[in-house]
Amino acid sequence: MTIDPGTARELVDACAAAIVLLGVGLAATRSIGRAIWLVAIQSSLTGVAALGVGLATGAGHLLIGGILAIGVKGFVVPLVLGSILRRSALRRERHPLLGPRVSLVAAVAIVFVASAAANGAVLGASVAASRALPAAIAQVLTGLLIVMTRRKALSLVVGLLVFENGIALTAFSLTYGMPLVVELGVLFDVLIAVVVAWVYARRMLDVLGTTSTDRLRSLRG
Amino acid sequence: MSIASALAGAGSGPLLAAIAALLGGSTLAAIAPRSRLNPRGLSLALSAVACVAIFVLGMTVVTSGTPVGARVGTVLGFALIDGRYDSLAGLFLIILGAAGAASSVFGIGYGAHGGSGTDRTAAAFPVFLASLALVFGADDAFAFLFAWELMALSSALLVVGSRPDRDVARAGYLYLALTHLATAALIVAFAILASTAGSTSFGSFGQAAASLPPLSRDVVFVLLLLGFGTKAGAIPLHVWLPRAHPVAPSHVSALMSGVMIKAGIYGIVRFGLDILGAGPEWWGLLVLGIGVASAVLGVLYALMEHDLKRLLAFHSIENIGIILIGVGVAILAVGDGATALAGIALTAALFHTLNHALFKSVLFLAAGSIQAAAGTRDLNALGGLARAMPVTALAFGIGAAAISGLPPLNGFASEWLTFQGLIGAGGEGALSLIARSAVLLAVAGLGLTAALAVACFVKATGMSFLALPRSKGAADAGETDRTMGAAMVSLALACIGVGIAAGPVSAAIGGVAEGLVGQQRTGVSELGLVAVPVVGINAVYSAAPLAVLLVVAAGATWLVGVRRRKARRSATWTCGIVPEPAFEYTATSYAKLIRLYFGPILRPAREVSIELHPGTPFPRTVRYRGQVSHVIDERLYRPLHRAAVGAAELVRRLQSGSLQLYLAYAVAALIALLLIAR
Amino acid sequence: MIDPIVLQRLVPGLVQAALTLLVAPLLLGITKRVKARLQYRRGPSVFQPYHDLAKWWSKESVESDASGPLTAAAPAIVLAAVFVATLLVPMVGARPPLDGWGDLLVVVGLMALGRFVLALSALDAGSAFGGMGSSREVAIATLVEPALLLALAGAALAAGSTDLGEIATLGAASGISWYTPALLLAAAAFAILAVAETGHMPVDNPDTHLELTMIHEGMLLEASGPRLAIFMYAAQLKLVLVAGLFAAAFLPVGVATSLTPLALLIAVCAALAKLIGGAIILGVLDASLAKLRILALPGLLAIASIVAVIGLATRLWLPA
Repeated sequence: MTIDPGTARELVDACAAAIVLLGVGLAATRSIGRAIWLVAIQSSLTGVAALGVGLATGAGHLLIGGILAIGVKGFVVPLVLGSILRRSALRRERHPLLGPRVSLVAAVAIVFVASAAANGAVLGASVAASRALPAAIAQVLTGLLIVMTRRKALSLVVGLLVFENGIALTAFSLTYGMPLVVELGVLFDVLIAVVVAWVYARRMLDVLGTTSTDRLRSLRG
Repeated sequence: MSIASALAGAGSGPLLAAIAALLGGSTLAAIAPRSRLNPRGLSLALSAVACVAIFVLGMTVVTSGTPVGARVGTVLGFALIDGRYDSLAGLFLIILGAAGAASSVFGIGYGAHGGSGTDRTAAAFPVFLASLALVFGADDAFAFLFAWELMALSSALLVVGSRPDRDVARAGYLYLALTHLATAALIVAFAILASTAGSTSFGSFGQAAASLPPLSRDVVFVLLLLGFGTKAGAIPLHVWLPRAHPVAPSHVSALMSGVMIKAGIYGIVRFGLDILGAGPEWWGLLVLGIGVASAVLGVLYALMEHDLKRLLAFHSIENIGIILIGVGVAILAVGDGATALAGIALTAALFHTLNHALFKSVLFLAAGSIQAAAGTRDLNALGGLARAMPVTALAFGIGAAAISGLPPLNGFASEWLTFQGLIGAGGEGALSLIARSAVLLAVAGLGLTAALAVACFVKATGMSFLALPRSKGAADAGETDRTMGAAMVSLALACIGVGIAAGPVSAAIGGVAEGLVGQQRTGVSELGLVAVPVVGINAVYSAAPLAVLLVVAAGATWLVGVRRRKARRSATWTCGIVPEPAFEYTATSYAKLIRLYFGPILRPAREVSIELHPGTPFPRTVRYRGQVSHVIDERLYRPLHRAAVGAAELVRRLQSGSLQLYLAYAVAALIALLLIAR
Repeated sequence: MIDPIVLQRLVPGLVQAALTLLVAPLLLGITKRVKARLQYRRGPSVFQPYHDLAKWWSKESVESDASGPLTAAAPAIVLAAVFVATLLVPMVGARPPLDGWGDLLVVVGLMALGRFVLALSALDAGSAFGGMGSSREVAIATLVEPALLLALAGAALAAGSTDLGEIATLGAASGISWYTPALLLAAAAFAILAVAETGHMPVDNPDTHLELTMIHEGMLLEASGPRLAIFMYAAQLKLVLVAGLFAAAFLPVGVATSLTPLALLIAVCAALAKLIGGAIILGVLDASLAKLRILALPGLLAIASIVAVIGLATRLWLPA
């Protein structure tokens, strides 16, 4: 089954817009549960966009990648994160390094910066080109912002997922996506990261009673 | 000769397959669960047979002169085992085979005595043997580095064992760190050569090296010297050797001292002479200088040791120095076009490599035997073992005489050749005056080394085996079992045999050298060994007739003067006091005069504390603490260590412990990279 | 009949062997006599060492009950080493008796063999005196050997080979031009070292009875009877060896290059003259010098080393 390129482009644009909004929302929210929901939807939308491009161009690996993205990043990982969240008492990011309002402003600023950066980029003949690229760059930067400004371990994982969404989006907005081997590798990496975070968060809860990473200060020589 | 040609003609495929199968079987046997068959013994027996096969392969290649190739396993486009055994590699295979067979046989008995052979790291032993065989034959940079790393890791595993205490762990750590520094230097050198050659095969490196600009060639040479010199244990890169060799089990120490450090020599000869070819004079002078420094400092520190195995480890450094003296003269001569001189010097170096493997292995095996029997390696606690352990005593004595360079044993033959190379270089018109002066000063250095070696081994032999035992462990010692004895005796006989047959052996090695430098000037007279450093005028050393005459003369004297009159035994004169072992000289006191004579280098420090009987001037106890600091450790490594730790302290300030800050560092680096890459 | 070439090799060799074996104790006697005379004593007869050897030979051998099998074997090995070494040095003929069996490096090596076995046997009795003598002997050897090799290298470079026959032949044939400054410097260095090698003043006192000042005697303290005779004879032969080595390398006048009876006679007289001259010089040194403190020996032997190095430098950098 194929769809024609025009439809695919519109689909990708719509997904990109939604992804940007979700990214801003992720930056602004304090509730971890909400953040997990938002990132789940964002990952699924990334997968949908990949599916769309794949159906339009007939690239098989994009189809597989898209389905995997929806399945792993959209369902499995959020479920795992949710299970950790249920065990932990505190569901909110109490003292992030940047307050929600400042984060909101920063996220919007990031969108503008990304658009400016994307304008200078050379775009190849890809069906998903033009509007997905700014969204992608924005997600990369937003993910880094979340990681740098949050203290709770789960928030850091969420930030990682946002970052990864951005990378995946960059990949198939510039080219025909990453080779299957690389895609699988990256997904596997994410899975491992989440598993590690799961184990770590449980341990932190057992030992420290909290998943706040500012208790971890001994990582020095 | 015909068997050799037949073997070579058959492609040696079956022989290589047999070696591989035996070593594989040996590895599996070592990790097999304990059953009624002794798995370790079986593993070592298989290793011994494999070593015999390696020896045969080496002999085939050297005597027939035709190289043997083997190519196994192409993974990801790179051949894992890409071997070409030419006569130089064949010589090293002979060394590996002989020392490996003896060590394996020794290990069978050694493990049964509970000498740290009960752990699972025994499987690393055949892997170690295999990696050595691969290193000598590798014809491709990747294959070489793979075998090199395997050799380093397996030997480290063997050194450390499976449950190391703190000192052993540190020794292993230092060993790994230095060997990886060496590997890093080698990788850079290979990269430079490979990028010019366009391929990683050693055959192409030769032409590539010729086309490099002189500065690059110099850099490659220094890097190779750094890398291979560390493995060989040359000063100042030797610090791992005296720490790692003593803590390993004795048969492993024998193999490490006898064969593994020779891999460094193999590398220097292969790359310095074969692949890089002629270079400026300072190359040879540098190697010569390192050789003399290693020889003198090695034996000097050996003399100051009273741990028998540490003494032997320092002695290995000395012998590497002697080999490097020969190699240095060869490189010097090749650089100036004096190929005859190069032939003699290289023959001397390669001959000494073979000899050292033989006599150092005997000594280490005997030291293991002593440790197993007396329970200690401390010379100050041994003594009187000659009557209790005659086989060990005889083997050690022959090894000691050989390593001290006494005629008619093998050590003297190769030192004789080295001297001929040096004196010949002093008279060689093709060399510059500076080179000739340096070479003649090296004569003095080598002479000093020989005299110090005599002192060191009189001390070691005398303190271990002669007079009365100085401790209970030594008094209770008994002879070791038959496999250990057999291994030692066979190596000792090899020392004597190679010494007497010095002529033919050195002629064969000369053939190997000829292949590398184009000419050899040693030969076999009807009686023995001939060296021709200067055109037309021979210097001859006929080992076999001299040996016969010495034996006849000594035998006749003994029969006439000693045998016919039975000696009466009586107490030693000790000024009328009943003699006891405490009156004997100890190892530390024996070396005292040399410690004083060479004080400026050794900087001995001592501390004597006397406790008096209360209220009287009479001493109750006297405590003596003496120490010799190692100049390289003090002057080179300690400052480097302090500087590195200081720099690390500075960098530590960047670490706040906050995860977010570290992530911010990563992001900043990423942004910087993106900006640069634009 | 016997092949003339073999005869040419064999006769001087036999003459030399007989000469050295017979004359060795006489040299010691001469040394002692000269020393005595210089000390205003009459001194023993020059043939006294022969009587001493006979006396020891006839006595019983006593060994320490701490010693092992080495004590019985050591005297034989030491004597054999020195004896074979003397046969490698040309003293009468221009070529040594065992021509083609070894060069000066082999001679030095055989001396080292003798030293090794002697030092070991000194440790076997388990006495402190043996240990003292042994450790001093090997320590002094470390100072002597480098310089010795440098001095001999000087002679070898002059002749183009380390073969003593070549050196002696060339030296005898060159006449006065053999004695270049470089060679004379090497000879001076060797002369100082010869004193150390043979154990005379100022390095060692051969007549001391204080164990604390003995080096060579200290190693022989536990030997008695025939074993002591063999050790002492070996020491006497060593003097012949060192003097002969000096003569072959640095003073090869009068060696027989042909087989005529006249040449042989001249050669024998020359050899005797050199040996006796050496013995007299050692006697004079014994009488006039005091033994150096053992810690002061590096100073003396450093002088010898420096002289040898200057000799080599002269040869290399200022060729005549």
